[in-house]
Amino acid sequence: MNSLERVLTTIGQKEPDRVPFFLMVTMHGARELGLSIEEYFAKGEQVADGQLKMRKKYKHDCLYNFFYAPVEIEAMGGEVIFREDGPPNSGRPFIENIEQIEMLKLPVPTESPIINEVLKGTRIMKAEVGDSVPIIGVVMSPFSLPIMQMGFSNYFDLIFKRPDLFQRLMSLNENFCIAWANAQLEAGATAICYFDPFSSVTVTPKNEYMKTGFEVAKRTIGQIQGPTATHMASGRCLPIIDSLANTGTLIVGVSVEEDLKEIKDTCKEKLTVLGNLNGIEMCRWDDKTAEQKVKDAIKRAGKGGGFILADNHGEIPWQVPEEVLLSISKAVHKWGKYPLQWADEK
Amino acid sequence: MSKLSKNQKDLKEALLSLNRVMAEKILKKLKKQNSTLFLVENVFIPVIEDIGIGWENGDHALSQVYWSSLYFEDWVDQEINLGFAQKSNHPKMAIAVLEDYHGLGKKIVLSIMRASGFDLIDFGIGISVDDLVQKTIDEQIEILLISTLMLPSVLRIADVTGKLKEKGHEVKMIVGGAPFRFDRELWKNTDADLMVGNAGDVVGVINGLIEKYFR
Repeated sequence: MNSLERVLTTIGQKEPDRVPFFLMVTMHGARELGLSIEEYFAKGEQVADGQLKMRKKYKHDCLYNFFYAPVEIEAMGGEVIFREDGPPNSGRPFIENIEQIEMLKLPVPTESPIINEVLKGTRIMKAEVGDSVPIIGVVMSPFSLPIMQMGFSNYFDLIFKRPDLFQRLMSLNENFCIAWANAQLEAGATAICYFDPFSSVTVTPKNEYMKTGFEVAKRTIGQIQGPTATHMASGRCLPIIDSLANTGTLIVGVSVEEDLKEIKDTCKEKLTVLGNLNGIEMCRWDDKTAEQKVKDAIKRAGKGGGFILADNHGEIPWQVPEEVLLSISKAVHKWGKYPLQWADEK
Repeated sequence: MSKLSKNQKDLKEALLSLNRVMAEKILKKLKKQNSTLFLVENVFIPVIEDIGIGWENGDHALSQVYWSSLYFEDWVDQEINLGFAQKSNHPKMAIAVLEDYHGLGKKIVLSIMRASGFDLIDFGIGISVDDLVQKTIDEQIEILLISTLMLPSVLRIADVTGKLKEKGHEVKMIVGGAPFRFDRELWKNTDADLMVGNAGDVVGVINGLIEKYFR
């Protein structure tokens, strides 16, 4: 099986030849090319090159066109702050007070230079791997984007005090997100990872989510012209699994703070589980720990398909050593072969 | 999780459901028989702690922690306007978000601390190691709280502790933020004195620190 066949089989809730494995490495590509993180993400061809080199090295089952979380913010004219040892962050929010939303206009995604670099990188990856490897595109959900557009506390205020302006912002963000996702699919992305940490029950109670993030996701995902994976970026989601499935998404990226077996059982036949290795702890794993963590995850969620092994955040920290990533890969290739008879042994 | 009394449970329920009217009603009733100080220390603080633990355990959401802490601060502000005098004799404290622009944790901690009678200096967000060290020395801070969300910022905390030691400034340091929850060993690399897993714990931790080192 090639990587795409392996992933499609598991999404079909069947066991492929091996547990598919998404190593969601982004910044590590800069190391491969001997560039700083800022230099690396300046050009789509470099990111494509980095992704292809990392897939060759770590033998995982996807390419990942993700540059950094505030790509949308940069495209909207906001500030992005680079650092040498971690992911770029959004700077001062460009919506400083709620009333600004009344007159807010967002640009067309494809008019932005950074968006075009991501699309360029996606096209290069697609030309290289064709239909043998899934290329994962990324959007920030319209419901989670305001964390960077206006800051957490202003956003909480908006939701609870100005539902009219909340709806207006959602409408603007949805249009942007749909166009951005579809442009990535057109450039060659196989599926879109819909990052939605604000919908996790870590941030929003279930009853509020049903009135807000759920409705936004249903509308948005319904208009994305390809498969989607909803990622909670370390947030919890067990109480909203059924609702997530009802948004039309196929995969859910889950937190290390939740029991993988319980998640898998709840997702059964409805969603494929993506996760949930602890990216923060990973920084200090040795070969033996990496093998044990991979074995545990496969044992808890691997049987019957419907499972892709990955980290729990959707972005491996810069501080995770190459040796650990190689150990994880080695363990998946050793313990992930179906049928998982060893997983039944006591 | 601590066992809450009926009054505490009622207030917690009102805060979690963002029902300010209900919270006002409960507190008004309780005030007939109790002082404001009693309500702060014996009703509000245990409830806020409980909500914080509930968030850490996955039972409550961050938005509920945020609104509860804000309500607590607003209520105490109203009481101050009515003549309630808070304690003011405690070590000099400050809070900062180190090399990081995620200010929500700091905002929640500030609300809870101020409502609990602690006066903190806010050093702001995105502060560099050198600026934080200098401000801590200039302001003669005795307890420093550092909030972080990003792992690289966590790894810079040890530089703050190291530089403060180099300069001979004695300070007790408390750290908090998401990376510490995902790796319970991580805070030990920061050379900080303590770590708080959620904002609701901060008052208890500070009181313990004061009891141990400043009495």
